[in-house]
Formats: sequence, C-alpha cells, structure tokens
Amino acid sequence: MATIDPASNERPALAKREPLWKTYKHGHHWPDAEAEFDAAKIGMWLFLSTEILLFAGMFCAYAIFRMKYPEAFVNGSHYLDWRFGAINTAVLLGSSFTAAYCVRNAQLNNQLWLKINLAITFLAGAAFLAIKFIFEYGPKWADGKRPGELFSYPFAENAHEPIWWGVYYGATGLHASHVIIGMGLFVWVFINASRGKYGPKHYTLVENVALYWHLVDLIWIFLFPLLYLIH
Amino acid sequence: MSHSHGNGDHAHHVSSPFTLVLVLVILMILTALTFIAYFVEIWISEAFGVYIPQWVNVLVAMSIATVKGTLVLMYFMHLRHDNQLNTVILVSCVAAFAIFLGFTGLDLGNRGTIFAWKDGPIIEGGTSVGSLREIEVIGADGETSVRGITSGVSVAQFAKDPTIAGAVLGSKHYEKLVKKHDAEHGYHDHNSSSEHSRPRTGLTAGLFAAEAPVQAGHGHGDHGGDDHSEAESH
Amino acid sequence: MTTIDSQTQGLEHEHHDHHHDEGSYLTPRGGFWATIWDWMTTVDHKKIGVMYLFAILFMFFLGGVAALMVRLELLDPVRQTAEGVVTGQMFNWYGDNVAANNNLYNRFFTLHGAIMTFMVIVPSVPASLGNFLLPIMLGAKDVAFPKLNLFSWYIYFFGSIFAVASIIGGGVDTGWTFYTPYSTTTDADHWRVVIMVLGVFVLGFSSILTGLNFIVTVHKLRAPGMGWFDMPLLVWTLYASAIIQVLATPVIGVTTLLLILERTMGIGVFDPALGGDPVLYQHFFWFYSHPVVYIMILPGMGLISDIISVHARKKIFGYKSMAFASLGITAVSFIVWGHHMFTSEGELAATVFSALTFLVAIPTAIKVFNWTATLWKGSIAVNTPMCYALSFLFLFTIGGLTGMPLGALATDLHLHDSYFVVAHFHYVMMGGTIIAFIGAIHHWWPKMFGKMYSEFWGITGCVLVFIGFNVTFFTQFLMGTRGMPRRYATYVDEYEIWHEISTYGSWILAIGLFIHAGNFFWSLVFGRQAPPNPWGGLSMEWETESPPVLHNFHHDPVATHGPYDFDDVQPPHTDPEEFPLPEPLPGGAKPH
Repeated sequence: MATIDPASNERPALAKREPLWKTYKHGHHWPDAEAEFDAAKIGMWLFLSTEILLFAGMFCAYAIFRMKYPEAFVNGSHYLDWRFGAINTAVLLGSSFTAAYCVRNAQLNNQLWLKINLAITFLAGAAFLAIKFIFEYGPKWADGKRPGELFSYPFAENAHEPIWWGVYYGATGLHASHVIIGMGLFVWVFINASRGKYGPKHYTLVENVALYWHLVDLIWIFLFPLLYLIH
Repeated sequence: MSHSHGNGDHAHHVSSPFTLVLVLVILMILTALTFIAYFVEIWISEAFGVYIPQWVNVLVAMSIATVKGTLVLMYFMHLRHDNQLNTVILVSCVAAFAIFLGFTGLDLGNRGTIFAWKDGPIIEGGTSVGSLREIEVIGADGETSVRGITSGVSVAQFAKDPTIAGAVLGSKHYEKLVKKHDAEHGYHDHNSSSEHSRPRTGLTAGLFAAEAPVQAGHGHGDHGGDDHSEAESH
Repeated sequence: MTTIDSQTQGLEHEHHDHHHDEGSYLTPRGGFWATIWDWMTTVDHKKIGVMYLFAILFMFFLGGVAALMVRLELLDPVRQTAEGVVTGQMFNWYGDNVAANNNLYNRFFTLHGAIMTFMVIVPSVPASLGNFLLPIMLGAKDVAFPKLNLFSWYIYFFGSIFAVASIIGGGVDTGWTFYTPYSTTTDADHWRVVIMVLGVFVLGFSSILTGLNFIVTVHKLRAPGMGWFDMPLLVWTLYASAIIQVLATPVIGVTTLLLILERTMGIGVFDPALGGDPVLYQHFFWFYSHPVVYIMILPGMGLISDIISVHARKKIFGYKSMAFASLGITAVSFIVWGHHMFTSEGELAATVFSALTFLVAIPTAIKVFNWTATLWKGSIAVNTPMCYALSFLFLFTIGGLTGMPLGALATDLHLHDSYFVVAHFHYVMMGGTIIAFIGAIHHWWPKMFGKMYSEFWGITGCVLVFIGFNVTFFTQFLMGTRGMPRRYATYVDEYEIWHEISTYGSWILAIGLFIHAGNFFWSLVFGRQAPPNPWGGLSMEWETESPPVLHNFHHDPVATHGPYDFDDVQPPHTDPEEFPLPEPLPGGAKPH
C-alpha cells in the first residue's frame, strides 16, 4: 500500500483503492465502531431470543399433543424416514461449521475462503430444502398424509394422526421458512463480501447472519429427535 | 486451543480451526449417539419385552440435544468468549420458554384430574362444618375402609337448621340473631331452594311475574322442604 | 420570562460555532415534496416518534368512535321488558332486523378492542413518547438502530392498514381475543378475520423491534456520567416493558400464525373435532396478552413518576424501589397469564395462577405508595399534566384494587366475563395508560413542538375526561356485580338505568377528549413559543432546546446530576425566582 505524504497535496499515481471494510464509518450516534459492533450483536441475540420463543409455540403444541395422543405421534413418526432426517442433520451441522468459518475468514481477512464458505453454507441450505421437499414433503403430501382437515391417507392407524401431521408440517414448515430466509441473507452477505465490505475491522453482518444460521441449526437439533426418533 | 486476535484496541475472539473441527466432530458423534440410543431402546423393548415409557425416549434425546445445543452456542456462536449480556439474554429467553411450556403443560396435563383429598364419599350436606368423626366407606371395588369426615353438615345446612345452629352457637344466641334480622327486615326470609327462587331487590318484578314477591309477615310455611323447621321455630 | 428568553438566545449564540446545521428537527429541509420525502425516509427517532404519535392518536380516534357506537347500542337496545318488547331507537341501521343489528354491534366491540389494544395502547407510550424521549433522556443522538426504528414504523403502518382493510371489508365479530372457535368459524368463507389476524402478526414485529432497540440503547448509549440509577424512571419502565416486548410478543406471532393456518388449512391444533384443543389457543394467546398489559401500563407508570416529581418539585420517593419494582412487574408478568382463564382451565392450574397473581400487587403497591409519598409536602403546580397524574393515581388505584377480587379464584367465578371485568380493565388501561399518556403529551408537548398549549382548556378537558370516565365505567362495576355479562347486545331492564348513565358518561368523556384535540391543534397554530424548560425539569431533555435540534444536543452531553435532584440543582434554562431551590434546613441538615 502506498503511503500518502501528508505534506503534499498530490495523490500517489498508483494508489490502490482501499477495500470497503477499511473505509467503513460507524453510525454518527456511536462513539466508536466497537460499541456499534457490540450493540449489533446484543440486538441480534435479542432477535434470536424472539425466534426461539416463536418456535416455543410449536414445541408447546408438540408437547401437549404428544402428551394427549402418544400413539398417534408414534404412528406418525414411523411414516418419517430417519435416514433423511439423519442426512439433513448432518447437512445442517456441516453448514453451521462453515458459517462459523465465515466469521473466522472475515476476521482474518481471508476474502477468498470467506466467499467459498458463504457459498457452501448457502448450498447446504439448498440441499436441506431439496431433501425436505423432494423426499419428504412431496411424497407424503401425495399420499394424503396432510395436516388436519386436508388429511386423506386411507390407511391411517390412529384417529389423531391429522394432528400429528399438523404439528409436523407446522414445526418443520416454520423451520424451513427460516432456512429460506437464512439463505437469502447469505446471498446478501455474499454480494457484499464480493464487494470487499467485510474484513477484520468490520464484519458485523457476517457475524450476525452466521448467528442466525446457527439458530436455525439449533432449532433443528431439538426438532429432529422429537419428530423422527420416537417409538 | 484458541487464541485472541489483536485488532486495534479491541480484541475479538477468533475461533481456531482446531476448535471448530473438534466441535463439529463431537456434534456428529452425538448425533450418531442419538440414533444409537433410539435403536438400543427399540432393541431392549423387543428383545426383553420390556415396555419403555415415552419419557425415557424424550429424556435421552433431549439430554443429548441439549449438550449439542450448548456446544453450538458456546463455540459456533461464540457465547463463551462474548459479552456476558448475550448469555443473560439467552438464559432469560430459555426461562420464558420453560415457563410457557411448564404452565401450559401443568394445565393441559392435569385435565380431568380429581385430587385424592377431594375423592371422598358423597355425603348428604357436604363435609365442611362440625367435629371430625370416622365412618365406614364402601369403595367402588366393594371393600370397606374407614375414613375421617366432619359431621356431615354443609355450611348452608348449618345456616338453615336452627337446631344445629343452636347446638353450636347456643339457642339464645340463635334467637337473638333471628330477632335482629326480623327487626331489620320486618320478616324472616327464606333461603332460595331448587324449587323456589326468592326475588331480591334490584331484579325486575316483571320477569318474575308468575309469583308475587314474598312480603313481610305472611307466606312462610308455603314453600316446602327445608324451610319448615325454620318457619316453626320462628 | 425575559430572563429565560435571553438565556435561550445565549444558548444559541454560545454554541453557534461548534455545530453545523443545527436547526430544530421540525425545520423543513427543502420544498414540500422534499419535506414529505424527508419525513418518510427519516431515521431520526424524534420524527419517527412524532409520526407514531399522530398515527396512534388517529387510531385512538377510530377505536373511540367504535366505543361510542357500542355505548350507543346499549343506550337503547331491543329488549324484553315488563311492558313487552322495546325496539331500540338509537342503533337500528338494519331496522327491525334484530340479528343484523346485533351482528353489527359485535363488529363494533371487536374493532374497539382490537384497535385499542394492538394499535393504540401497546405502541402508545413506547413507540411515540418513548421513541422521542428515550434517547434524549439518555443523552444519546439516536436509538441504537435508527433504520430498524424506521422499519418498525412502516411495519406498524402496514399492519394498521391490514386492520383497517378488515374494517372496510365489513369488520370482524370474534372479540379482540380471536378465541377459537369464533375466529375459525364465523364469517366462514371470508378473508376479514385472516386479514385482521395477519395485521396483529405484523404489528407484533413492530413492537418487538421497538423493544429490541430500546434495550440496546439503554445498555450501550447512556451519556458519560449516567449510571443505571441516574436514568429517569420513564427510561427504567420503558426498559422493563421492552424486555416483555421482546420475550412475549413472539408467542403472539406463532399464535396468530397457527390461527391463520387453522382457518385457511384447518390444521386442527385448535379444533376439537380433530382432537385439537381450543384451550391451548387461550394459553397461547394469554402468554402474550397478559404480559402485554404490563407493556401497556409500565411506561404509563414511568410517565407518572416523571410528571409527579417535576410538577411537585420534589425528589421522587424511593427511586431504587421504583426501578426494581418495574423489573419485578416484568418478572411476575410471565407467570400469571392463567388468571384470564379461570373458568376454562383445570382447577390445579387455576389455583396456582390465582396464588401467583397476587404477587403483582406487591411491586404495583410500592409504586402507588411512592407516588403518594412524593406528593407529600411537594410544591404542587396545578396544571394539566399534574391534574392527569392525580387522576391516574385515583383511577389506577381503583383499577388495581378491583383486580384483587378478579384474581381471587372464588370471586372470579362469579365476576368472570361480567361488566366488572370490563370496568376493571378500563380503569387500568384507560384510567392508567391512556390518562398517563394524555397527561404526558401535555407535559412534553412544549418540548416536542416548541409551542405552549392553553392551560385553561387543558384543565377543563382533564376535568371532563375524569368525570366522564368515572361516570362511564364506575357504573359498569355496579352492573358487573349485579350480573350483567359483557359483550351482550341487550339486557334486562334491571340494568337499563346503569347503561344509560354509562352512555351519557361516554359522551362527556368524548367531549373532554375533543377539547384536548382542539387545544393541541390550536397550540400548533397559535400557541406561544415554548421556553426550553417550562416546568423546571431536570432530566436531559430539558437541557436542549424546544423543539430539540437535529442531533438532540449542541454538545455531546454529560450527566452531572440525577433527574430528580430538585433540592440541589437549579433546573437548566430557568429563572431562579420561578423555580427556587428550597431553603437550606437549619444546621446543614439534608432534606432526605
């Protein structure tokens, strides 16, 4: 990097343009960038709390109805293929790992690997959704294993299976919508990252989007055994 | 295991590759463990014919998931090296979650429960006032058991029956009460019974037109049932 | 007065060199359309607060009209009396079609409830006055996330549009609680309920973002020198209610989501025909909607603390107990929701919830005692904010104490769903929050718009509101204990006289509120220029100008004294003769 002599007004001829993360200016109402970063993270954690409590409703519905209709839940769970659940768990855990690596890459100014890891995380999300929709939702919906009033599966063993499917589609659907939102966020971060917006001095968004993705993973860690592994 | 990366005046924690990989490997192993626990449970229940209650399945799966979640929170989400306020936020959120699930479950999990202390024999007049005594109760299974009850008189019965009230309060005291009431109201009113609803001030006369309101001084013995003894004593 | 004016000018001159572009935040920048665009895209917390204020007041007007309609119906409904059937004369849009008239009545009380709860009282204090005052009181330039703040405003705006669209489409008749099966079966093929519920879902996010912003602002943006216990109590209560906003609101999100799925797809979780549980809906709903009453009342309590302290010119009594009582209310608010469901939940849960409910009384009573003790021996100024603060004390105490028989299981079974409940929550919500809100608008009006309002009309309005409110709602306590059920379009003629008095009271109340509205508009156009510190307040917003400059302060402020040190500190920009410090006590004794 060329140094600028403060005494001269001339710009060095071949001065390389500074990457955006170096020229980042914090908001006018913050004393410094560190306070802003810290605040953004507190805000993100508060937001994650609201997300956890959003899922609390689904977990609560699950708990109440499993308590009321244990046989229906065991029956319903046996329609799910644990192998797809296992693959999806592995995919999400792996993508959580790459998301954590994104933060490290940004902190160490490793721009290439930052982008690669962002892309891998995005693709893992896409893979998760593909497995979910193509191998799970699609065939089940076609079989008539649908929630509530839409239920039309002719070989149902238990009268309360529609409730199980209601909880299943509700919980996994809400989770899948979070995966979709997370993928959108990764696209946004990827675009910003390719413009050089993130580096050691400024990587707030990378950190926060990674936190969001970890939360999606966290929810799945709890959801997966509750849905796939009951007997 | 991990090191701090200097960044101007402030040090942000940078996770080392070793930590991240180790956490990922542990997470995968724990996932496998969840499956193993699931299949072991099935195997035990089928091979030995043991019924494993559902809470075992939930407890095992949720314990492993909690360990996994804690790892994700501490290392992937950096809570271990972060502002402690973030941990406080998470803990309050989990507390709210637990309250939500706990109290809702407390209600909906106890529907239709009748408590043991309420599960007594039905005794005419209820079991609320008077001294304790023991009676023999024949249960649903035909066996007799001894149960302590009160004298078997309800509060309403107590108030209505001057002999009981007199026995407990003293007959003079009871008469004093009756006189006081008559002096204030001009008559000794009836209590409502299932056959007879006593009109009160404030209700529309027109809605009860079928029967005229009880007036002071007459009409006491007409209303049947429990009221006789009361009217006579009066 | 001249002294104050010259001081103000001195203030401007003194700091003129230090800052660029320091007009008031209200100064238009550019032409008409440029100004509109500036307001629409502003991230300034003051402008967002002002936009919220007017939107909330508009929704308050809509909800108020619905309330007047409800009272109009009950003035003279179709009813059975001793003389025969009496046909209502006041509310017969559909003539002799009684069912249609009653259906219309159902829609009016639902709109009143839904608008007043979700679009007025929940955002009222935090989003409008809180947005405006919280950063200034902390000595900050803005809230932590200004763009998020603007986003939250737009969410509120579009959420309200959903609700209004539902009204235009014919309204909803489920009651503001959207209990299943009403909300899943009435108007079976119509989208209105879905739109209304979607509006509530969207409004929830607005509330979450405001709360999130406030928590981070309080943690990270306090001015140098301002410790946790140097914050005005309004900030404490906003902080406490922000915690509830963040932790409780998501549950209404998932509740409304499930309700929409239930209504559109019939997923069955609330439908007993499929094995679902309507009481589960009630648990979901009240897990949010009970804490939300503390989102409503807590900031009102904070406003009253500040108003009483300033206008009695006395240090607030028991500052720390006030602050901790606010947090205590927050904690308790999460474990008492079951008392809304005493008649529908199991007896074990009802017993537990009833016992826990009485915990609420402790922090609330601490606050009421502290306000009373603050008034004791203060030099009380009789003006509109103070009149409202005194009204608040009177009405809120009645509202709080009538909560006791409702929290007690045995009495509640008699009073449940009666007018006693209606009167109770109106005494707390309107007599508490709205009264505090109107008083606080008067208190901070000079600061927000730089204009004084007419004190005479302010006090007149306050007296009318106070009388009208009590006439309207005290009669409802009497009706409730006599057995009048809520939400009925008609009654037996035993209740006729009470309903008539109540309706006349609502008209007095409306006149009082219209006087305030007129007073505010008059003040914006003709009002006297407000001095920077008309009441002799000590918290930071009185140190800047009226209205505040664009970045709130000319200098980065430093907190040098507490917000209630009236015994030691001469209020900024005030005449010592008008706001004298107390005489020193003999022997150098301290007053506290």
